[in-house]
Parts: sequence; structure tokens; C-alpha cells
Amino acid sequence: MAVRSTRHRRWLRKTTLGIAGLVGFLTVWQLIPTLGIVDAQYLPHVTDVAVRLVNELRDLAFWRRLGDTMTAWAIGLAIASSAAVALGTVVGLVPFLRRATHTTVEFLRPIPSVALIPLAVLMFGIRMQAALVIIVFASFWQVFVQVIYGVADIDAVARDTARSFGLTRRAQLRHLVLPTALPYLMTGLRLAAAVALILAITAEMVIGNPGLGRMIELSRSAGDAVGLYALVVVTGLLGLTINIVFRFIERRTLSWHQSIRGEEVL
Amino acid sequence: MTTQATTVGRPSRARGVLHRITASFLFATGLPVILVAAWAAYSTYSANRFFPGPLTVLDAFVDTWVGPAFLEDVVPSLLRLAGGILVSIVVGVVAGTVIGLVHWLRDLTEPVLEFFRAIPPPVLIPIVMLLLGITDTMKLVVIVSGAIWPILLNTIEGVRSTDSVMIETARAFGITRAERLWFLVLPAASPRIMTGVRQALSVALILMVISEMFASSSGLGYRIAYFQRNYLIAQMWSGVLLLGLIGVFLATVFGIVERRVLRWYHGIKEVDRG
Amino acid sequence: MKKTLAVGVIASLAIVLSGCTDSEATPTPGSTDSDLRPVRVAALPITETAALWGGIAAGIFERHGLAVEVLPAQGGAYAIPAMINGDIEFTVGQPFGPFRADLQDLGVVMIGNYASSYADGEDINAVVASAASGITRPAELAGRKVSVNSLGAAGDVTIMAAVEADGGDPSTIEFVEVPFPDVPAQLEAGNIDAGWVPEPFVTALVSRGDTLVVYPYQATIPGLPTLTTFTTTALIERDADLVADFAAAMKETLEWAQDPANETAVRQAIKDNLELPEAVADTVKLPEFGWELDRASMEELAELAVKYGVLDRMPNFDRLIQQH
Repeated sequence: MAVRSTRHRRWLRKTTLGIAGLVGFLTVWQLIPTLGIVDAQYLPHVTDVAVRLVNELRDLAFWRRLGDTMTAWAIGLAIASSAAVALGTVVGLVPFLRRATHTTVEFLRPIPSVALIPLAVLMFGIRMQAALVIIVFASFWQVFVQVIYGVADIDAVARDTARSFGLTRRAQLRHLVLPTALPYLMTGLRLAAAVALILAITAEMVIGNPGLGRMIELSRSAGDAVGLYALVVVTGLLGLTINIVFRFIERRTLSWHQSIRGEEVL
Repeated sequence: MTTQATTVGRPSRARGVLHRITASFLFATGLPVILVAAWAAYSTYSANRFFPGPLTVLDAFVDTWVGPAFLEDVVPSLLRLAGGILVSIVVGVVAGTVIGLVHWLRDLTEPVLEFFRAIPPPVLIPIVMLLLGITDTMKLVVIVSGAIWPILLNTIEGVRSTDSVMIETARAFGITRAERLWFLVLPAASPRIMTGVRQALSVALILMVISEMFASSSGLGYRIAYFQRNYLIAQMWSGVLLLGLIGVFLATVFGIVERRVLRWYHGIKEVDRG
Repeated sequence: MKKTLAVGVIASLAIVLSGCTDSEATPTPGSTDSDLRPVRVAALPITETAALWGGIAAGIFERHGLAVEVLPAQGGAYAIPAMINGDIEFTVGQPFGPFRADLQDLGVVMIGNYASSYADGEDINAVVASAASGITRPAELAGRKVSVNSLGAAGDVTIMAAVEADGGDPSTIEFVEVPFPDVPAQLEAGNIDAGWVPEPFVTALVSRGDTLVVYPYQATIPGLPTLTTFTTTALIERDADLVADFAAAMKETLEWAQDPANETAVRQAIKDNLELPEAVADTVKLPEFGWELDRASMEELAELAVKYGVLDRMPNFDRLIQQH
């Protein structure tokens, strides 16, 4: 009985504080153009942006564009994570491979995928596939590196125990590698999801394939500040939603791990 | 736990060292050499204008970057990059620690922070430009606006996941808050923080390039965009090559710093592994 | 209970959906003829593209058997790789794109003009200086910070030529890249001394007190083409009929757009495709639309570019310009 009400109270407090933070932020935003600190032409009032946002939400074309962006995001993330998990596990578990690929990975990893845009456009034109190249290239490394870290972090005692118990490769993977690497993988996926969204929109802004990013660029070139801010709010909310979803998944799958458990005890 | 046992007939030290160095060298260059050879083969076979061979790119690399362009464009970009990374680390770690420790603060700021984090930095460029003009500060802010998040998030995570038993014990022993912070929480969080810094490095590089592509008239990113626009393909790839080299350089520097900072962590792991 | 909830959800969904709009629902012009060949054209999302939009809406392209989709390309830098890839067939863009592509032997060909500036009177773009800078004539731009939307193109070349013609030293001008919509803010903040802008920004800036310094196109090469239509030699070889039909349709469209009788339709196209305030869409100055390429002017432009070091050498105009 007491436990449930404490948890409920905690949730209530968390949500209230969260909302308070949001409200505080919105108030500050509204005050800045109202007080004239920045011209309303460059930082429109929250109220104007909100009205435009509601209008956008009523527009089916907006939802279609949103769908375009989310499709590119989802497909890109899926390709990147599956490739990264597969390759990362293999490379992480085999020390020879890890050493052999180290310099190549370190060289390719920091290359901004925006530099690859001309190649992507040349291969696929001004279409979603070109954006996918950019998204996959960037998100891949986020997950890949985390998986390698995770796989390398296996507790030596546990590993030796597994070996002396004669566990098969597959069993080892399931009972040893996976639990150790899982927190890292979850973090990697969460970051990759965020990166994928950012790149999906950036690719649309630069290349011009249909989606939110293209709408943002059009607003920008038309000098439509209110529209621009409304779209920025949309991308922020989108990222927020993705983050919440991934946090939720993380919480569910890692309910045994310290960072989640520690909270309940304290 | 095994220790290095001296056996009879140990090979000469010099030869052992040479062996190790050769092995390292081969590991470092093996795969890249194979890839470059494959690239050379592909480019001679396909004659695609947008995919020149490695020799052409190397040629362009020397022509473009080894000279005045290095001082004019590359060095300022690198300085901005370094500045952006440093600011991100300082602000990220400080803010992350505070937010990680104070539960209600985390609850208060989390929605707003998550919201800002999700906004693609290129979208913020016009807004930042309005407030800060086409200045170095603007580019620095753009870099920070993206690079700070991995550090901030990882710091919060690291601080949160400090072993509760350790904290309780420390409290029981009467160790002050400040001491707990400096000697317990931060070191415990440092592996996570370093992971964050590592990610911030790549994000910072990407943003350095993007910030210079959109609203700049000089810099490494601008040069690459300029080559893109003018279909100077070999030069463009040479720029990408340079970016890769900078990335390797950053990673090496980071590796050295990380090894030093996390000496104790690696030590424990090594002991664990036996 | 669950049933009521379900009904409630469906009802509210229906209400919400009925209140939805669809800004992309264009009234289908006549027949959905499957004989129409699909064509993708990249064009900048600016007021000048109104002629193309208007021509499509008026059914001109349909009459030539073409279903045209206009892609709002950003800056045209990726339009040419997309054309080489075959993803898009034609591009309407500024001439330096084809110039540079030709220098790299990419096989880009100008098949027609699109828009030109005015040989006299008010031009469609201008260099506007902030009141605070005190600049009143081109020569005073020397040594100052001037913005163009894209470095190494017609903007800075013509500005340098105008400054030199007025007696100033063009090599001392510090050019910076600022997108057009951001120029007013940057002028106000004092980050730039003058900016090169098209309409509607010229009128907006002048009416708030800034100084119109010069019409660089008019001062250098009166009637200079601002936008041309180009495609690839690969497409011409592969489907010469398509190119011919498209060229004929473009010619007709541009004549139609140039006709004052159709001005309302053209301005309506602006309103339908851009998020501009109505007042602006009604009054913004439109360029001279026309299909005939002005080779002489473009050669002069290229010569100036070479003179100021913007281009390495002259493009091969014999193979670059193929009027269709």
C-alpha cells in the first residue's frame, strides 16, 4: 500500500515539475519578443507560432511530409542498427578483427555524412534513398561503437565461468554477451535514433527530398519566421517523442540494471 | 591471475619489440590498404566522374591543402572545433553533474532539454545567425548546440548510476558532500562521461562542417561545400580525406587523454581479465 | 463502456478529420491521361518560378503530352548530380551551374533561357546598403563587407564589375555569403555593410530607410539572363523527342507568362506555391520571361568571371549552348 502511493506521488511530482519547466520556458519565450529584447520578426511570439502549429496539424499535406521524414528515419535506423549489431558483435568478440579494423573505423567514423551528399544524390537522385545513405552512414557508427564497447566490457569472471561450464557459442551469446552489451546497445540505439532524425531532416534540407526538412527550407527561403519556428517546434516534439519511446523500451529491458534500480531504492 | 613468468630461452628484447611494432603497423594499415586497392580497381574500371581514383584524390589533396589554404581555412576551423568541444565538455559536465545529482532539477529540466536536444542544429543556424551574426561565436554556438548533448546525457547517466551502496557507505562514514562528489561520484561517472566526450567529438566535427556550409565564407566546411558546388570532385574528396585524418587525430588525442583519466578503471578491468 | 469509448473515439476522429485541410490537393486539370510522360524539373522555390508553375496549372505542358513535377531544389548544387543520375530531367537555375559543370566535362547543356533582368528601369535585384554604412555609390563598396547569396556566381562578378566601372577597386571588397532572407537582419545588426538582394527584399529594405546603391546586372550587362533551362547531353541523346516537346512547352509557357493579360494567373501561381504574404505576391517585380538564349551576354559574364578569378577559364560555349 505505502509503496504504491509513494510511487504514485513520485510520478505526480515528476510530471508536475516537468510541466512547470515547460511552462517556464514558454513564458520566457513569449516575454522576449513582447519586451522587445529581440524583434518579433526574428523571434515570433509563442502564441503566433502555436496558432500556426495548430493550422499545420490540420493540413493533410503536413502529415504526408511528416510521414516521409519518419519513413526515412525508420528505415535508416533499422538498416543502421541491424548492420551495426551484427558487425559490432563479430568485431567486438574477435580481438584480431578489433585491432585490424580500429584505424579504419576511427578514420571513417568522424566523416560527416553531409560530405557524402553529392555521392548520394548521384546514386539516387533527389529521393528518399539518397537521404537513407546519409542517415545510415551516421547512425551506424553510434550503435557500432557502443556494441563494441559493450561486448568488450564482459566481466572476466563471468566469461571464464561460462567457458569452464562449456557453454556453446550461442548460449554464451545469449547469457553472457547480450546482458553485458544490452545497456550499451540501448544507449547506442537511443543516440542513433536521435542522430537519424537529425540527419533525416538535414538531408531533406540540403538535398530537397520531400519531408519536414524541405518544408523548413522553404519557410526559411520565404522568410516565413512563424512557419519556421512552428516546424522547429514540430521537430523538437518529434525528437522528444522518439526519446520517450526509447527510454521506455530501455527501462523495460533494463529493469534489472543499476541506473534504473538505484532510483527505486533511494 | 597469471604473472609474467621468465622462462629459459627468452627471445631477445629488441626482436620482441620489433615484432610488436611490426604487428601494430600491419594491423593499423592492413585493412585500409586493402580498401584503397579495391577503390583504385573500381575507379579504373568504372570511370565515374564523381568517383576518381585514389591517386587523383591524393594529387588534389597536396595541391589544395598543403599551402596557404591550410592557414586560411583549416586552422581557423580547427580552432573553432577545439573551442566548441572544450565549451561543450565544461558546460556539459558541470550541468550534467548538477542535474544528475538533484532529482527534482532533473525532473524540471528534462522535457525542455529533451526538446532542445531533438532540434537539428542546422535548423538552429538561421536563428543563431540572427542573434549572433555571421561570426565565429555563431559557429561555436552551433557546434556546442549539438556536441553538448552526448556529454550532458552521459554525465547525467553516469552520475545517476553511481553504486548506491558506495554512496550509502560514504555517507555513513561522514564523508562530506563535496568530497563525495569529487572522489566518488565523478570518478564513478567518468567512464560514461568519456563515452559521451568521444561521441561529442564526432558530432562537433560534423557540426563544424555544417555550420560552415550554410553561412560562411571561409573554413574547411565552406571549402568542401565550394568544391561540391563547383563540381571539383577530386578536391571535394580530398577535403573528405582531410576530415577523416582530423577525425583520426582527434581520436588519438582522445585515446591518450582517456587512458590517463581512466587509468584506474582500465587497471581494474585489466586485473579482472587477468 | 468499451463500446461507448470506441464510438466516442471514432466520432471525435471523424470531426477532426473533417476539419482537416489539404494544402496539396490540386484540382486535377481535365483528364488523367496515362499517355502523359512524367517529367521532373528542379527549380528554386522563388517568385521567378511562377511562370513554370503557372504554365503547368494552365495546362500548357499537358497539351504537349507532359506531366511535369517541379522539385524545389535548394541552390541547384544537387540538381546537376541528380540530372546525371537521371532522377530529374531538367533544371531551371542560374547560369554558373552549367558553366562550372561544363568546365568539368559533365555533359550539361543549356537548351533555353528562362528569365532575364531588365535592361533599363527598375531591375529585379540590387545592392542595398544599410543607412548606417553611409554607402551611396558603387565605388564606395570597395573595402566594405558585401553579401551575396552564393559566392562565385553572377552576384559577386557583376558587383565587382560595377564597382570597377564606378572607379573603385573591386579586389578590396570582402564578399560574404548570406542567404537572401537573412540579409535584412544582418544589415540591421551591422554584420554586413551592403547586401545583394532580389525583390521583394529590395523594396522592403528601401522603404525602411536603407540605400539602393546599384543594379549590378543592369550596370554591367543590361538584360543579363538570371535563370536558364538546362539538361544533360545524355537525355538529349536518349530521348530527343522529350527534350523537343519540353522545349516547345517552355517556349509557350514563357510567352504566356510574359503576356500582361496572364499576370494574375502568374501571381496566383506564386500564392499557391509559396508562403508569401498576399500583398507581396501581388506586387513583387517579375523578371522578363523568355526562351531565347542570349549567348553574347553569357559569354560576357563568363569573361568577367575569368577576369576576376571566379572561373579558371572560359566554358566551351559551342557545346554548352544548344538552343532548342
